[in-house]
Amino acid sequence: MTPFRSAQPFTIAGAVPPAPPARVHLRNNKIEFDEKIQFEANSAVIKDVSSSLLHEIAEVIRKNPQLKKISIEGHASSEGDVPSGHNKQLSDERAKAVMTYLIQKESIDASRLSATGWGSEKPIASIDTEEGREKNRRVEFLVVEQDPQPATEKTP
Amino acid sequence: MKLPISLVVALFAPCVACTVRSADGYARDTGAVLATRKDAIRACYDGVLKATPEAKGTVTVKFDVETEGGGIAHVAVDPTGTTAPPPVADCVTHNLTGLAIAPPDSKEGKGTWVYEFAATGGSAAAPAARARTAPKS
Repeated sequence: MTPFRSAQPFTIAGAVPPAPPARVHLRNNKIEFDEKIQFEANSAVIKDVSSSLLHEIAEVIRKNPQLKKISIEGHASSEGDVPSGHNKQLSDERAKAVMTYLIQKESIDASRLSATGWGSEKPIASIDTEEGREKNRRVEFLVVEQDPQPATEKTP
Repeated sequence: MKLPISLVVALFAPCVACTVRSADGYARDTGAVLATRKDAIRACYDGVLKATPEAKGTVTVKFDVETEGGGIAHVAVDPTGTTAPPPVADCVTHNLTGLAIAPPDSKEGKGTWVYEFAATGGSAAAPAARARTAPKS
């Protein structure tokens, strides 16, 4: 038997892939993101595909302790509001589902969050086109109370 | 006395075209063979870094070099000389199978090999971990 060993270690230099750009930003008293939180059809069940987005939203909340109160606001399009008020109720349930997710899965302090559904009362785009109606279906995060000290934007 | 041909082959085959290497010779020849898998190990490590950007450290493996065929066999991680996480160590062990030195040696080899893994780029850039000295076989 012949024992032997490497005279010098083999060096393996790997490359860490660049971090993807942040999808979630704190701007103008809102937590903004381009993607949508996705729900099962006609339901307040959040799809698994939105977990990473919600995690990034939670990271922004965590890294900005000056945000004392954030209102999670659900909005629907005016389409399919049968029976009347269904869309408002659904948007309310979806906003509350997001709040519950952030509290239970991301350990965000419940006292920092509130949730409301507005139905189709606050459209941001045309209600006459599908593109507009799609924009109107959304969940927003509005900062309603924060410490008076100057807030610096912090994103993950 | 007449011996069956198969027995004659069995007796002498291991040493056909064999050589006798010193420890340095074994290390040199084996190192050349192991080096052929560095790119594959690097690619595997890059894959680990996608999920674990902070993964780095040293992996020490021990293995045998068989007299028949010169195959590198029984590759095992030496935990006392390994600081990298298991997925990185797996990159080494999985990529050393199927290698063989040529010509085979008439004496079995007991190898100890050290790999240093370091990452660059992203937020995990860090200098290479210093290799720990592997115990002798």
